[in-house]
This record gives sequence, C-alpha cells and structure tokens, in this order.
Amino acid sequence: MTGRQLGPVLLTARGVTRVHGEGATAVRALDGVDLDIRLGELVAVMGASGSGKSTLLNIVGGLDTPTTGSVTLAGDELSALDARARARLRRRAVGYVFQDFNLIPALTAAENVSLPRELDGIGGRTARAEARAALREVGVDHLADRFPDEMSGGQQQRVAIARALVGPRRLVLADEPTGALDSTTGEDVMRVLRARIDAGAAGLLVTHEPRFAAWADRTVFLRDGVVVDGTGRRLEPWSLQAAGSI
Amino acid sequence: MRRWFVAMRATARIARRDAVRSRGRTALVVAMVGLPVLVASGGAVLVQSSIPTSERQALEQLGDSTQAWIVHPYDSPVVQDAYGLASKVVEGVDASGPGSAETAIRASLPAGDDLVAKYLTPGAVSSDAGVVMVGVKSLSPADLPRAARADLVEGVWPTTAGQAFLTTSTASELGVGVGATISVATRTGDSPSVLEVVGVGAPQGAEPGAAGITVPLGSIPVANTPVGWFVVGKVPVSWDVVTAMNQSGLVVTSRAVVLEPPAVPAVGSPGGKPWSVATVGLVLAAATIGLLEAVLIVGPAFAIGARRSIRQLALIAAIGADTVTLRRIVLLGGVVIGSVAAIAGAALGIVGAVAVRAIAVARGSTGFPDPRIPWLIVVAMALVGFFVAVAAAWLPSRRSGRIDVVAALGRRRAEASPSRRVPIFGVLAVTIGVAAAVVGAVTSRSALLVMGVVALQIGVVAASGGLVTLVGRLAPRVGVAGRVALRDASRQRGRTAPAVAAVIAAVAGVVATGTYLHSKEAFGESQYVPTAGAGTVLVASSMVDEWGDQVHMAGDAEVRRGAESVRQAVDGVGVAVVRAAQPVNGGWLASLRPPDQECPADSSARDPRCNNLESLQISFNPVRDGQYSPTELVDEGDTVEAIGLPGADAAAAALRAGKVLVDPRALWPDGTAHLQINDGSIPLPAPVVVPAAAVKRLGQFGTVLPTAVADRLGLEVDTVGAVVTTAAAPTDAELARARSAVFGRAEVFVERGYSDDTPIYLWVLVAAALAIGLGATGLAMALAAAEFRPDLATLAAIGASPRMRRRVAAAQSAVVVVLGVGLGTLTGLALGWVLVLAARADEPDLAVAIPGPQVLAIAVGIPLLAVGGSFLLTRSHLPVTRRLAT
Repeated sequence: MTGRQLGPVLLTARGVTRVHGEGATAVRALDGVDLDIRLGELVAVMGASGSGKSTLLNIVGGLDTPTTGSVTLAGDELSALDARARARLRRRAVGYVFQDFNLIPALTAAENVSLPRELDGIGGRTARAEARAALREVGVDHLADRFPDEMSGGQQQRVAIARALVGPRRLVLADEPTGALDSTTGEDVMRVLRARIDAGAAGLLVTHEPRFAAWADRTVFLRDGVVVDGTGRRLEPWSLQAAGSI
Repeated sequence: MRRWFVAMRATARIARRDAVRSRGRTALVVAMVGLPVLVASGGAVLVQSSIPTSERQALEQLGDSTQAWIVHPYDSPVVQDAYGLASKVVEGVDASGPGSAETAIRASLPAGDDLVAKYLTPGAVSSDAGVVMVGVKSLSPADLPRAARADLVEGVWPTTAGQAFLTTSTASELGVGVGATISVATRTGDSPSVLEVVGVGAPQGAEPGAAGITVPLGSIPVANTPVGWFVVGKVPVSWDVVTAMNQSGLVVTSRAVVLEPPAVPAVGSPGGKPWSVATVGLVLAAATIGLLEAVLIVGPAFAIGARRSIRQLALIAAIGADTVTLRRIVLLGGVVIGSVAAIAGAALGIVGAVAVRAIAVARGSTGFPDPRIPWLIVVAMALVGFFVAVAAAWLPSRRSGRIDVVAALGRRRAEASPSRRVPIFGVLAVTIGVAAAVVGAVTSRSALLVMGVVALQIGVVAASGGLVTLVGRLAPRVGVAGRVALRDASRQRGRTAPAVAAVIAAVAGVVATGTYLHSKEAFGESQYVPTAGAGTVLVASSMVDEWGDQVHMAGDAEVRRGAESVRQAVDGVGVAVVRAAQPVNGGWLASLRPPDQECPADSSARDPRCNNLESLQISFNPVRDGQYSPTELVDEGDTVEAIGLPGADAAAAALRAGKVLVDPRALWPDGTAHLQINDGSIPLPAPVVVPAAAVKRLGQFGTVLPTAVADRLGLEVDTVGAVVTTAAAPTDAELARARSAVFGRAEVFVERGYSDDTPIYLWVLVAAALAIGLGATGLAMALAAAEFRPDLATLAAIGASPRMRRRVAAAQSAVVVVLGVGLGTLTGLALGWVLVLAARADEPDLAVAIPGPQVLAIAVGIPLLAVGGSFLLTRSHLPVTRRLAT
C-alpha cells in the first residue's frame, strides 16, 4: 500500500500517556505515544491484549482523556475541550466501528447512520439524504429500512462504517471491525473501509490479524502501552513513519 | 431552537422504539401507572353520571305535559337560576305585585295558559295486602291528566272525588289494580277516605319505581295552601315571565327556559363547611406521600431499563451524544410510557364507566341518569399518572448521564461510583424531615408538614443506598451464598437501591396509612359508649311517628305488652322495663359535684373536670309537651342487670342497697350524692344528700335512682321503654318482625357493639404491600439473575452444588427485602405518627395505635414470601447459553 497520495495531517498525538488507578495499583495503559494520521491514510495498530490499543482508540476519539500528552484532531486540541465539545467533535469529525457492530437495535440502518447528524441538529430530510448517500457508498442502501437484527454481521458492519463516516466525519476509529466476522466477510468489510479511506477519510484500525492489517498504509505496534517496532524495540517519534512499513 | 428540536426528535425516536421493543417492561409500567388512572377516571365518570343534571331534574319536575312549575317559598323578591333549582332572597326589598301567590302568578301568566294547583298530603294508604306511607297528590279533576306527570297504563284518569290513580309500583306494593278499593288516612285525625282505584300508570321521567297516588281534589282532606302550581297550556313561560314572578317571591321551573337557558349568574347555595387547616395539611401530606410512593414504586422499572440499555447509551455517546442527550433518552422513555399509560388509563376508564352505566341502565337501574364525563378530573388524573411516570424516570436518567462510556463499551462495570454525599444527605433529610413534620403537624402548618413528610421519605430512600454498602461489610462474616449476595448488592447499588426504595415505599405507605386508620379506629372505639351489652334489644316507647308527631306507648302495662311481643319476635330471654324520672314542674335533676371536681375558671380545654357528666341520652327520653327533657333512670337493679354492661352486677347491688348511681365526678368523698332539682325557681331548692356509688360508662345512663329516692325527691316516674335480653344478637329478619310488632308505637333497635370496617381495609392494604413488595423484589431479582449468570457458571465450574444457585438467589432477595421492609416499617410508623399528630388538631385525644397483626404480617410475610419464592422459583441448573451466529 505504498505510493498513495496522502493529504494533510488530520490527527496528531504527542506524548500520550494514560495511567489507570493510583499508587501501587496504578497501571500505565499508554506511555508516551506519538502518532500522526493524514487524510487518505489508514493506520493499523497491533499488539497483544492489554497493550493499550483500545485505550489509544478511546483517547484519540475523545471518549477518554490522556493523563499527559496532547491529541489534536482537525485542529482542535482535545484536552482543551469540555465533555460537551468533545461530544460535538465526535458527532462531526470521528466515527467508531466496533467488533460487535453495535448498531442501535431500536433504529433502522438509515436511522442509525443519520443519528449523529440528527443529534447535531441537522434536519431530518438532510440527515436522511446524507445517510442514504453513506449507505450507498458502502453498498447497503437497499437495507436502509431494515433493523439491525434483520441484517447479517457483514451488512451491519458496513452500516457501522457508513455511520462512522456520514456527513463531514473524516476519521474512522475501528476496533477489531472484523473480529466477529468470517474471513470472507471480514475481507469484504476491509475492502469497503479501505475504499472509504481512499475517498478522502483517515482511519485507525485496531486488529490482531496481520492479513487485515495489510489493508493499512502502515502498522503501529503497541506493547505495554509503548509504540515498538516489529522486534519489540521502542521507537522514537522521528522513526514512526519508518516503523509503519512492514 | 430548530437544532434542539431535531436532536430531541432523534432521542424521542430511540425512547419510543425502546419502549416498543421492551414490551414486558413497558407493559408493567403502563399497568402500574395506567391502572390507578383507569380506576380514578372510571370512578369519576360513574360518580358524575350518578348526579342528575340540572336540566334533567327540572324536566322530571315538569313531566311531559306542563309548561312550568311554580312554588312560593318566600315573601320577598328572589333571584333564581335558569332551572328553578336554586334561589335566594334579595335582601332589603319587599315583595311587589298582587297579594296572594296565585294572584301574582296569574298577573304574569302568559295569555292562553292556565294554572293547576297541586296539594300534597302525607297519607297512610292501605289495602288488604298492607300499608304504604306516601305523599298523596290532589289536583283539579279537569287538569289531572296533564298535571299528574304520569302515563296511563291501565284504566282511566280519575274524574271525580273518591277515585284514585296509582303508580305501578304503589299498586304492586298494595297488591291492588283497577277496580280495587283502598283507604287513605291522613294526619287530620278524620276517618280514612275510601277510594276506588280507576287508573294505574308509570311516572314520567322520574324513577320507574317511584311511589305515588294522585286523586281529584276533594277526595281527601288537604291543606289550605297548595305546595305549588303547574302551568298548563301551549304558551311557553319565558325568562322575562320568570323574573317578573321572582319579584313576588315565586320560584319558577319553566320548560322553555330549561331547554334554552339564559346566561344568568349562578345562584349558589353556600358550599360545605370549609376544611380545617389540619385537614388540609393531612390531605396534602397523604397526597404527597401517595405520589412519592407511586414514583418510588414505578422507579425500579425505569432504573432497570436504563441499566439494561447502558451499552446502547454508551454507544450513542460514542456516536456523539452528550450527557444531556443520554439523560434525555431515558427521561423521554418515561414521557412516552407515561403518556401511553395516562391516555390509555383515562380512555379505558371512561369507556369502562360508560359501559358499566349502559349495562346498569339496561338492567333497569336509575342510578346513572345521564352519561357525564368530568373532563377536568379525568385530565387531572391522567396528568398525575403522566407525572408519576416521568418523575420515576428522572433519577435513572440522571444516573444514565454519569455512565462510564469507555467501561460500558468494554463491557465492564459502567455505572458511576455512588456518591458518599448521598447517604449523608439522606440522614440529614430524615432528621430535618422528622423535625419539620412534627412541628408542622403540631402547629397545623400544612406546608411545613408536607415538606417534612417529603424530606423524611426522600431521606430514607437516599440513605438506603449507604445502608446497602454498610450491610455489604458483613459479607466476610457469613456463608458463601450470603457473602456473594451481600457483595453483589453493595457493588451493584444501581440495581439494588431502586428495588430497596420500592419496597420501602410500598411498606412505608401501607404502614403509615394503617397506623393512621388504626389510630382513628381505636379512638372511635374508645369513644363509643354502648347502650347495652352486645345483642341486647332496646324498645323505646318515645318516638316520632309517621306524621312527625311525638307519641309513645302509654303506661307500664302497654310497654310490657309491646316488649313481650318484641321478645317473642327476637326469641329473647327476658324483659326489664326502663323507667325514667323527671321533676313534676319541668327542669332537670342535677348531680352536684364536690368542690375538687368543679371545673376551675383557668382550666385548660382538656381538663376532664370540665367535661359534662354522663347523662341520659336521647334513646329513652320521654316527651313532655312535644319536647325532649333530660331525665334520670329509676331502677331497683333489674334494669341495669338486663342492660348487661360491665359492672352491672355491682351497680345492681348498689341500687338494691338503696344507693344512687352517679358519675364518679359527682360522688362526694363521704360516699354521697348531692341531688338538686333545677326547675328554674329562685332560690333553687336545697340539694338532697343520698348514699351513692360511682358508676362509669354504664351505657348511656348517668344517674340511676332507686324508686325510694325518686319518691323522696318528688320526681314523676314514667315507664319509657324496655330492655329485652337475648341469647344471641337477633337477625335482621327477627328485628324486622319485632319492629312490625310495635309499629307506630315504639322504636326497636339492637346494640351490636362497636363495629368498624377498618380491619378489612387494613388487610387489603397488607395485600397491596405484599404484591408491590414482592413485585419490586422480583424485578430486581430477575435482573440480578441475568447479570449474575456468568458468576454462577464460574461457581458451578469450581464445584458449587446446584443448590448454591438457589441459595444465592434467596440471599439476594433477603438483602433487598429485609432492608426494604425494615426501613419501610420504621418510616411508615414515623409517617403514621406524624399523620396522627396532624389529626390531633381536630381530635386532641387521638393517640397513635399500631396495627400489630398487620405490621407483623408485612414485616414477616414479605421477607418470608420473597426469600422462599426466590429459592423455589430459581432453577438449580444453569440453562445452556445460546450462541449467537454471525
């Protein structure tokens, strides 16, 4: 996946550290992580359980806050924002895709996709049109009126990707999006995700499986909260770009 | 604003769809909220429908053939409502117009109409089959068909004196038909008039079963003045004519005015006595407690719903929802369900009540003349239901706004740690609430009372969470099941606390209501003065006869004959006559108190020395010159023995020893009574000192004199009734036979002792507490079981027996129910005490009485049933977990 034309930096993380608990029971989930993601770029994050992958995802999405360090998303420094502003940022700039799809069971596919736009105060007609467009881009617009329990896992995950990138959202944070799918469906979902990134978005993909990480432009390895290279050596910030090529 | 509306619509959609998806929970809450709304709305409709409209009352008065009905209640000008049902005198203005009422009416009567005077005479109408007391209407023969307000069914209308028209029910009661002969006796004392029944028919408009007899004028003696006049003819009586007649003190019900009532100010009769401050406070406090408890009882359903939706809420937060939006989703759930419950409850209540009324009417009932819906009350009930649902969802919505989104997405415990300040606030609220409620109750300050009650209840609920945590510290000291349950309860306070709150609310409400009702019942029983031993029959010869005159059986012999016939009718054991004495020249006999028993000038209102001595009550009072007079009982011991109250034997012995029985406060230290005849003479005669014995609460008889003392005082003694002793209380049929035996000569009643339906209500309340308490516990247990399944599987994997699952479930129930019932009982007793305190403003001697059996049934019954039920209903083996396909 080299030689792709990348856009400007969308996400910047510098010295991000996250410590859970205090004193003797303190756990350092992330330790001085630096990361840049550009538009058009999909970055995979790999690592063992407990290495800090999900914590990193939560922090860059504004769901969690770093103990130290900074995260800048689309020009906004997240630590300077209050909870309401971070929620607004998630509505407008960031979308999550989870392992077990996590569509709202009470809403149809179109309503799931339009929900962040409607929560942002966008009128129903506009939000629905944007949702239809997003569904069309991931190839499931014919399922717009179906409820989640009327769709397969792969279809639900496509809807989740559509929701993650509906409207102005440009950063998709995917936490094991293929973990609950068979390999064929998983490949299919990755193809859709890659296509959406190529169309002008950016993505951070947490995965255990190298074959899905191969869809990314580069891969970051985490071990005990620290970014390491393929051999387990800690990488300095200036070498991150190099570590991504495997 | 538009953005807010769009966001609100999106959250409302989620809340609505969630309500539809969680059908069981939604149905539960809808039932809990909607059923009371249904019952209240339906009841209001039925009550309103049972009250005839003013229009109906007026038209029933007019029948089908008259233009108006006029009465002459005042000699001064009046103002009246459009229906002639309410009127009042215009003060300070003399009546104008022609002299007599009839002249005044004719002066204003529309040309072409005529007047029919109606005379009404109470009469005893008899046939071979029996006697019926009824008002006999006398009308001019020519106008009788138009003014009789009845439809002829059989025979013809009476045309000459000596004929009669009967309503079907009266004819049936007398067992007569057309051609039969009846006699009508009136109070004039003349010999009864013998009449021939020539027509039978149904009354118009009024109840089909209404009694009535109509005769041509001259058939029976009538009063000089008619009770009113019908206007017959074809010309309507206009409002102008009505107001003109009002100037002469006439009140008019006009068909034309009733059918098209003018906009005139209401002429209200003065309303009922306004509520005292204490009553207002009591009602407000009770209503507040009721509402608060309804909220707390419904609350767990929303709390559990929100808890189950925690991951969905976290997901929505990840999408971009802020705290307010998360709260709004849960709160809108309450709005959606509350709206459905309120509207459905009110609608079904109305439909049900209308259906009940229709069925009742179809079966011949006249109790619901018009279907009427009191919209204001129905809407108020629906709003209360709506408010309860929304308020119940409020606290869970606050909690939902504080969830740990990251933890929820990671399927970890996501509820925010409970604040330590909440239990402290609870304890403070309880302390302040009790103080405020007591001060409010004692000083009759309604607002303070209500605030105190609310603070007390909220404080207990707030503190209960802290207590759950405290109880959790006992975990290391108990067995595995108890340890697991206690830890689970304290760590999962979001699940445990609402269930405990619901049980507290249910139990507190019932115990408070029960304590208040039982205190009132106990007070009523303590104040009840029985006339005689239970089952004893009393025959009082003095009475008001059917004409309103005072009569009584004259003479000892006649009383004895009457009493004997009563004894036979009730299968009695013995008879003792009741004799009463009173001064020959009128006045009364006073028992003078010793100086230390006199009411001091500076006494407080509750000083017992300032209460009246117990005196003979009305039951046996003979009548002198048409008026009741205070009298004293004269007895040699037989009568008080027959009366059969506690202490009767000692009282009889004292009487036989020649002593007078007096109220203890009238007994002098030397064992005498000082009796003085107060007949108005000046100076009063000197008191007569006689040996005496104290008797307290000997039925209604305060002073009882031996015959010798009555003679010494120069009192006149009459036989005024009799006491019939029985082996068992007579049945209603026996009593009816007894009353027939002395009909018109004496009154018969039976002393059945103090009776009250309160115990029945108390047990109904206990049943309600059981249902709600068990329901709330069951709800919490169902959720606990679902959440606890993985832990149970782990327990099973490490070798725990199958019974362990049951024991854990039982222990989990025990934590909820023991805390809930314990705190609820204490809170209920406190609230009941406050309510009794508040009621003391009106009844100073009211004391707190705890309904022991009912409280015990709640305190023991609910825990036993909940724990036992959890143990028995929990499966000992884990179900196979369903694997979800991808």
